[in-house]
Amino acid sequence: MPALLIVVIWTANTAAFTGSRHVQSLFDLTLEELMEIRIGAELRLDCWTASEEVLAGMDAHDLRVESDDASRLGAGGPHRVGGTHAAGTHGPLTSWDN
Amino acid sequence: MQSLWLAGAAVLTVLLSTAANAQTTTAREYQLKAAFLFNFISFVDGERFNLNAEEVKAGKKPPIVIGIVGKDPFENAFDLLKGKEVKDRPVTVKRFKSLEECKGPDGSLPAQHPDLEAIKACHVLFLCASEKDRLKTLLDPLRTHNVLTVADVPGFLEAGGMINFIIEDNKVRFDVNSAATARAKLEIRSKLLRLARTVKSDALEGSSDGGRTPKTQDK
Repeated sequence: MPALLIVVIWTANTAAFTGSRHVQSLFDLTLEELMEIRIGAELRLDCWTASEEVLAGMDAHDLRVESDDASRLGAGGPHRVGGTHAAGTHGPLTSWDN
Repeated sequence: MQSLWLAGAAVLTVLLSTAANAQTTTAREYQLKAAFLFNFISFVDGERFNLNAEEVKAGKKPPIVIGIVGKDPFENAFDLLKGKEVKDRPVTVKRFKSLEECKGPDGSLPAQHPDLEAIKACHVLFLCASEKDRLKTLLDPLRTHNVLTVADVPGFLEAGGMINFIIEDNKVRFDVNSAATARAKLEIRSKLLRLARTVKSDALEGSSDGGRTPKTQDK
């Protein structure tokens, strides 16, 4: 089963958007996503791999970020995309400095 | 005496740190704006923006050119653009001198940019803040030409520019002058217009409101 990337843009300790596509740089983001990014804030594009089966069982609302690890992004910082974290790996994909 | 030195060093550290932060913020701002420029291309249609039937038939993919005029604030922001395509075409970036740098031996500014023909060959043209006092000189020859003009300087739309970036709440926003895009025979797709902060069909050209656009929208 091919893996997809679930992309979460973290900006100002808030998960701004999620999607399910490959992202390598800011040039891969949509206008709406770019408009959510705060200039002064830390930006990371994180990715999780998840099977298509997992994704197929989720609607857009399921992709919202759950807050289960405040330490990762500071107080109140959310950590994972609902349901998919266990399905694969995650890690920073790119950052401002890339 | 030692405490004086320490205090001086502390002040210097703070100053250097503040300057470095400002520089990083500027770099980040222009990395974002570079991505916006790239993204805008998808939402603009015009004779030169879309491949014609002959090019499609021949499998030709002439590049979309983003031009930057003036003191370039983007630094290496476009580096990651290599290999990317938009409208099935590769994208290249060309940089042009500031008009200030094109002064004649007598110190006079040229009536038009010496690289005007190459500038006209661009698809998107970003006018840097260094050009803010010479917007009309740069924009007037492009008024009816199929070039999307973009900047982030007050008064840009009033000078006949098409898209002007604004920073609001630390986020990048933009205003659109749809009269200017229509004059240049560029069609801006509705999605881009919806995302704009304001869309002016009457560009208020010649007004001097410092680039502050009215809250009333006519999109």
